[in-house]
Amino acid sequence: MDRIGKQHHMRVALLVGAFLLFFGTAAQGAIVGEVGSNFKLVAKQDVIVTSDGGSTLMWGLAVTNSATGETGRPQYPGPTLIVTQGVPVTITLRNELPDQAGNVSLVFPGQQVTANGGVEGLMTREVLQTHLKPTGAFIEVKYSFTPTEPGTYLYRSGTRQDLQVEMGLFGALIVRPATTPAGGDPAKKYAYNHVDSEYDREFLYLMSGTDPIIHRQVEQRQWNLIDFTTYFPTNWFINGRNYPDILAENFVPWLPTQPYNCQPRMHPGEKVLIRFIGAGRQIHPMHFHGNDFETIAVDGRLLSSAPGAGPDLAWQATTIKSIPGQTADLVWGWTGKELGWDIYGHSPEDPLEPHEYAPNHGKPFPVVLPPRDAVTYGPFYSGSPFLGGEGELPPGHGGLNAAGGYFYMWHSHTEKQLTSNDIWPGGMISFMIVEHPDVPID
Amino acid sequence: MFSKKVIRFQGLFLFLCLLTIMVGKAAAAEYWLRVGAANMTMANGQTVPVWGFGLDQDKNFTTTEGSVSVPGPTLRVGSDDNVLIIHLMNNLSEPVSLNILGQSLTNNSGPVWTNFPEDTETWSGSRPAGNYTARVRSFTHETQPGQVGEYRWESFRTGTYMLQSGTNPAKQVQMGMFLPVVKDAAQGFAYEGVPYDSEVIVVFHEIDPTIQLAIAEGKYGAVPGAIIGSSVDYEPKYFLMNGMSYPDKGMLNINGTGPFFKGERLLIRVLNAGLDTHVPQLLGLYMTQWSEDGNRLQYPRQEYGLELAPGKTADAILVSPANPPWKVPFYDAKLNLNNNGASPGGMFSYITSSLPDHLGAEIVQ
Amino acid sequence: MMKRRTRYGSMIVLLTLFVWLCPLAVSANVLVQCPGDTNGDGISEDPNIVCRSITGGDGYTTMADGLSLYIFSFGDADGVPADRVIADLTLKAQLPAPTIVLKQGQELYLTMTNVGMAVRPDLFDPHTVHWHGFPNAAPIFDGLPEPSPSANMGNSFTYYYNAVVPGTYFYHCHVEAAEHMQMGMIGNLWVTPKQDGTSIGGFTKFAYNDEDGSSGYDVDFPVLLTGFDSFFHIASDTVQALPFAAMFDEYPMINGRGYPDTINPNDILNQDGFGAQKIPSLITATAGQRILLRVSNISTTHQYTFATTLGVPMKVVGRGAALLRGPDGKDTSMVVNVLNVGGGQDYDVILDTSGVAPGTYFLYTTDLANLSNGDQERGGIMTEIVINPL
Repeated sequence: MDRIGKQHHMRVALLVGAFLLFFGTAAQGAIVGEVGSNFKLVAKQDVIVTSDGGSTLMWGLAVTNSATGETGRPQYPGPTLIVTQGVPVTITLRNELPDQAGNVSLVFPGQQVTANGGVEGLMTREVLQTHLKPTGAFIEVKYSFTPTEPGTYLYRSGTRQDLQVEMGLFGALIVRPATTPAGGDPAKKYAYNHVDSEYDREFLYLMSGTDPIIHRQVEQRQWNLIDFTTYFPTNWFINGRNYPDILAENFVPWLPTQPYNCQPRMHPGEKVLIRFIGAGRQIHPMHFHGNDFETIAVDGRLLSSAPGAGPDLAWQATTIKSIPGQTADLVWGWTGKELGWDIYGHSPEDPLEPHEYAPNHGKPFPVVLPPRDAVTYGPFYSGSPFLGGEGELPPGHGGLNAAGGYFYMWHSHTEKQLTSNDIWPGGMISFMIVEHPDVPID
Repeated sequence: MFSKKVIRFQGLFLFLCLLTIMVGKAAAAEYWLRVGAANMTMANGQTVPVWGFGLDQDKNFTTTEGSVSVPGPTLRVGSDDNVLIIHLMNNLSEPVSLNILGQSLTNNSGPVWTNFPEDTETWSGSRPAGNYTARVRSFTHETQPGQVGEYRWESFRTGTYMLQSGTNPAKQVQMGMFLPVVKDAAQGFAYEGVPYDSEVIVVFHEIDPTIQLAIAEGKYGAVPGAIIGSSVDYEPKYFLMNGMSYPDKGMLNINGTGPFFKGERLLIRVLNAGLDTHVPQLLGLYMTQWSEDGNRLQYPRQEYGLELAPGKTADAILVSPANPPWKVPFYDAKLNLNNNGASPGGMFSYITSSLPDHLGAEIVQ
Repeated sequence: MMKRRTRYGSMIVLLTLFVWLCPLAVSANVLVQCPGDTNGDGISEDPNIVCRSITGGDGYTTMADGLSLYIFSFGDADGVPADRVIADLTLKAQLPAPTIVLKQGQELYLTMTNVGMAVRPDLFDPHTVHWHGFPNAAPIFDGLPEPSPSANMGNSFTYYYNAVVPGTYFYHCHVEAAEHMQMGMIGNLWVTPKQDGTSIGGFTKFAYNDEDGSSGYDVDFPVLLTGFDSFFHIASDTVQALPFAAMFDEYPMINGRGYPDTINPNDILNQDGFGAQKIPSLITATAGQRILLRVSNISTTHQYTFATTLGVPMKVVGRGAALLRGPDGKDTSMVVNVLNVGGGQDYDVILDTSGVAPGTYFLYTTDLANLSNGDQERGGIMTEIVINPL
């Protein structure tokens, strides 16, 4: 066991927990990003922070504010672009990477894109650094497409992909359905044009990793030494952050180039949509504690036996591989049914909670829990085994679960990826919190 | 030559059926293959020793004409053929055998075990009783150096398969002993209900030149003087599609030259003969996957990429989006896009539709 | 190993409850909870209750090239009196851990006693049991240490599971998962369906309640894939800093052994002469039988792909402990010749040997680099399938 790692874990967890307590979490169950149809992006170099306390040089995308014309710092991952089915999209890209980085471009698997401006590249049209061609058609490249189908997609750089994707040039593309599906409710949310793609909350899971050697070589301009045949990542990210940084809010000021968090929360009985994207170059088998998910779509297409049949080929499991370049949509829910004991610790005369499994109502807890000094209380243990419960906590415990929620780790099952540069815990760990129905989430 | 153009033409189809009936049903596909050592030149000029298969054109192994290649030549089993027979000439200096995952070798008189690591004793057919230290060397019967062996698969199944060495596969398959074997359900139909107009076969694999050199020099494995004991630290430096890496010319049009008109159906057969997973991906278009490992899917899959683990095959149909000319990038989404570290390189190609050189060009091969 | 003194109050409560629950003697905080156990043998008289007792601790294993490696894992404490658990089962970790098999509808009371790590007295790690894939789990029994209490050294925790969903699962410790799982704390676990015992399509054993016999089988075998990084285990054994960033499994295994030990029917003995590796992977069947492979991968660094040389396809009837059927009943089973298994994935694979000639065939990894026991070739993820004549 890594003693330094354990102390570090406690300290950071306490700090993040304090944030959670004071500011709550911004997990209203909608994915944040740039909503619209016209986006101006600039590729820029900057740094990100990793949970081991290090920093890594990255190439990210900055958004140019269409009203003010100002461009901020770049972000990792690139902005999540949220567009609408059938509405034409234009993405304008400029290049402010260091000269030796070469051209930059964007490709959109699954979309039929027309590119204008810039110069011809291997995969699409590319753009040179702004200062090399200050005017004219070379200064920017425009990508135009009309997304014909709703769903979850991604974009990546289309230039020297192995290096530019490693350096951070990718992001999510979400296409919202144009209309409510047949038989659907306009007040509800749907991922696709079918009622069986309904969800209550959605969360982004964009997976990536970094090999610090490559980034150091870029930093020190040792371009000739960059060698992906010896690629050996030691840092892994969900939505651009390691654990436990993913627990913090979206847009926290101390992670200026990593705006997105990963903090799913829900109430029993709800449906959560997970937009699962393989942005990097490795396979990550994501395991979901707590219950099975259903995979309803892959690469932006419902798993359907015939057009209009909806996701009638959906399969369920607790682990799914994130494949580089591929997207998937998962639907997850939890009720605690058939556990054999009352998850609320009710007496039989207590009223039922929403979505409570009635046959287990009032059933006693089945075992004797060990005394407090016989066990180690985890930082997210409320002191009680019941949903919404609380109990006596040992001295020194941070009390990070005051609402008594049920925490489930959603993590890569290639457990090496749960470390950040040799420090446990880190990397691709996240927690879904199922809150008691009375706990406000949004 | 990995692309083939077939005219799906009602009259021609009927004529061929009649011809087949008149001539008599073919029952067996029979090939004379040799396996031997060669050198392969990578896109950056480095040469790497390989062991490959080649067709012996005059079918008698009396001369050593006919070169070997990696991947080996595609073998076709006719849709009316029930049997595949291969006569294998071993021009290497160690025993070899053949294996096709998913097909049953009817005349298998192996497997062959040895006393590891000395390899001085062999047992064939079954493990010696009570012996828990002998290790298998070949999944099927062996063909010794300089000898010819016969391998026969009856009830050959429809689909896209890979023939590989069945001997010490970590060593021999890695060195290049693999080739595609395809059998259609019927003329112009890859599977029942899956017609196609043209075809491209793409075999993915990687090369670790350090291991391959050690193997070629006899310095690999549990042998005296070995510098590498096993392939556990495999670290490939080259990434190939049909034995080529970008910018090899053949990557610019991996499905060959020729028009591919709007609405026509290109059958993409992908095979992974490497040791790592690859993700063949199209940019901008969707393909419909119809099979996995030669087994027709009950429900086809709409996707722009697919996960191709080592040893796997898949067939997908790409419908031509337009009349020629057009090209679409077809590459490894796991981004193995370098040649020994240098970029651009590796598994990057285009599927193309090009205009014929002159009007009225032939469209039947 | 220091015995911990407990506070009086909780001791009295425990003793009272314990006397009521079962007559096993209490020692320190070792407590095996087994409702319906009237004679103290750790078996419940209630046929619907399955009681199992395992330990969490350390031990040694032997790789197929002879290398001895230090491990953490679970040991078998079934029927061992509470006052003997720590003394008898120190250094008796098994790889893989004891297999747990349940029938759909049974309740499992799984007591895990942390016997401590004898080789590393400086470590005070708790241990847990995570039933991977258990649907609608609650954190108290989920084995994740972060949102639950986990058993300290010298103490027991009894997990309760109402096994209502049949299928192939597995279990493992989740404390500092990258470390404890790399070190070997993994075991097979499956639940047989209610349909078992009825005759459908000529079968009486099924992977799932398929109602049509499509997941019927004659013989079943676990295929638990994992790997060891020998450098990590040696560092743990010799009190060095643990190399997480460098972790890379070079001893790939099926059920805790590399080939050819996979086909050895005997226990593989460790350096202390204890048979720590008790599960061979030889697959045997009579020609024409249907074989069910219960496949899982728990490697902390690798995915593994495998195939067989049987010449018949693998029919994947279940994945993630669920029958492969769509929401409205469409058959989504997969027919493949090669199957990739990522970490954390489990599959139910049926091999129909009708038409297969008697003989010996192979189940092996097609990521050929993993046909290795470290630096030794012709090993790793490979086992033999012996098809006997009728």
